[in-house]
Amino acid sequence: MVYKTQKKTLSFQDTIFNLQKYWSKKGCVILQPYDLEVGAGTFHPATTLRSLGPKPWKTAYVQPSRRPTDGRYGDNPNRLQHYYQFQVLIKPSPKEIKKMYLNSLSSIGINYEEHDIRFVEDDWESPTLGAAGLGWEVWCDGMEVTQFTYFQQMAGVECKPVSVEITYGLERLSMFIQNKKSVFDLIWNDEGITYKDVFHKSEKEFSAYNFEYANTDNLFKIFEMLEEETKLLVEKKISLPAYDQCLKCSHVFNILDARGVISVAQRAEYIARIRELTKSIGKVWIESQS
Amino acid sequence: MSELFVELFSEEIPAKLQINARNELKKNIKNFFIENQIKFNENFNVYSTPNRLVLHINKIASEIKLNSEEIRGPNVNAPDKALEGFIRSNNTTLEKIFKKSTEKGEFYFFKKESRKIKVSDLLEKNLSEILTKITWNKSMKWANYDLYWGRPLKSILAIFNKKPLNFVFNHINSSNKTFTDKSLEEGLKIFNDFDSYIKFFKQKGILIDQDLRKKIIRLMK
Repeated sequence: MVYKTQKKTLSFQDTIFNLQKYWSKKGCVILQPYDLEVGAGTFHPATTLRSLGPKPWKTAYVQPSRRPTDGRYGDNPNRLQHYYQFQVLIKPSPKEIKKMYLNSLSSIGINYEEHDIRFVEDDWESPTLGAAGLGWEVWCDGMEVTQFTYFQQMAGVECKPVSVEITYGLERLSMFIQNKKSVFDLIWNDEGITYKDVFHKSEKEFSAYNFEYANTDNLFKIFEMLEEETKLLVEKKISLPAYDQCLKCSHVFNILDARGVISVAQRAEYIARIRELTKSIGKVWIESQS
Repeated sequence: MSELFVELFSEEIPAKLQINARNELKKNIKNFFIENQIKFNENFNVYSTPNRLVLHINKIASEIKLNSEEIRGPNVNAPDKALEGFIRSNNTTLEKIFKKSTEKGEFYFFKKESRKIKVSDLLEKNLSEILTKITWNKSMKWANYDLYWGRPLKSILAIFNKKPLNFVFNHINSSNKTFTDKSLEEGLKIFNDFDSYIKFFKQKGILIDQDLRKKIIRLMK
């Protein structure tokens, strides 16, 4: 079934509602954002851990994604250190997933027949998650609006069955739908509240924190403490709390990276340390699944 | 003379991988025809769009004649079990076995009569293996399946001399149908030859021949 193009321009929040409703009807468990700082929707345990092991799983959720190095003090119309992803994960990947995805675009007013939708090669890798996948970035009239990935590996383990992950960049998608040149001009709701009203101050302040004020000596110590805690919890075989500590490690590392205190060699070393943590957690998780 | 026409329909395969897949398919099918001494037009083509990998060969012999040949079996001093196995594997009887001396000693022999084999039968038996031999520069798995392919493979259309070739490739059964709509994968249509296939897609604005597409794009510049 093809949804008719909607006349009314969708607000940012209605775009989220529609996607939630659409994927809910497809049988997905609609979750709320994970309550820790993460770099992408993929880091939510509902994706990372649930994509491992044999049990089927369908979920969709919004995930605030923090990328400290991408902050621009709210001055850049396209760059944010905090933005939203809408994430869908389905295991095993359904045969009709492309059709489901195209119809999801119709649900937010983008009729695939009226636009130039392209599936452009984009293979994905996450060195900290020990993860890799094959897929595409989806272009709508030349603009990337979605990442579409078939997971092949997660936490260093081959995925069987294979999950499909669909990640919509909500701000970009909304900018396309609302025809805005700056993310800050996005209409958030029907009362005329804009993205600027909601997030401009936070972009400015967090950019200052990430680039200027974060106490790097403390953060290095915190990293060590969190790493130790993760290892202890892995020994106790409780994967979810262990994974939380690992996510915190990852975010601390990202801030240190933004502060410019990590050399190239150190960077590789820290990434490898986080990957080792993820792998050990993945192992505990899989053992608990069989 | 017959025509072989195969279409492998998948989700969007990246441009470089298409080249890789075309070359591999061409090489493997060519080797198969040569190994089996099947006469065919060597100037054949493999085409691709992101969703369709298409093989088209015409002027193929419809059958091959295998000359009679003497097949050497076990040495006459070998245990009886060896002779029994030889008889069984050649689907024959003891009366048709004879002894013959060679430089290496005396052996049992069986004379296989000359016979004709239909190329369509050979293709049905071997196409799955020919496709398995495709080496991808990068490949993936999806859902619960064990097959590795450039991107998820959805259907296989295989026609020889206007009739469907029936074979199983991993979890997919070949047929004479393909999806006419790459987006929703909804409309299925039967094709019995390559000509009607390219004409149908041309009408829909889809050119199967990548070289032709390239030419047209260059002319538009």
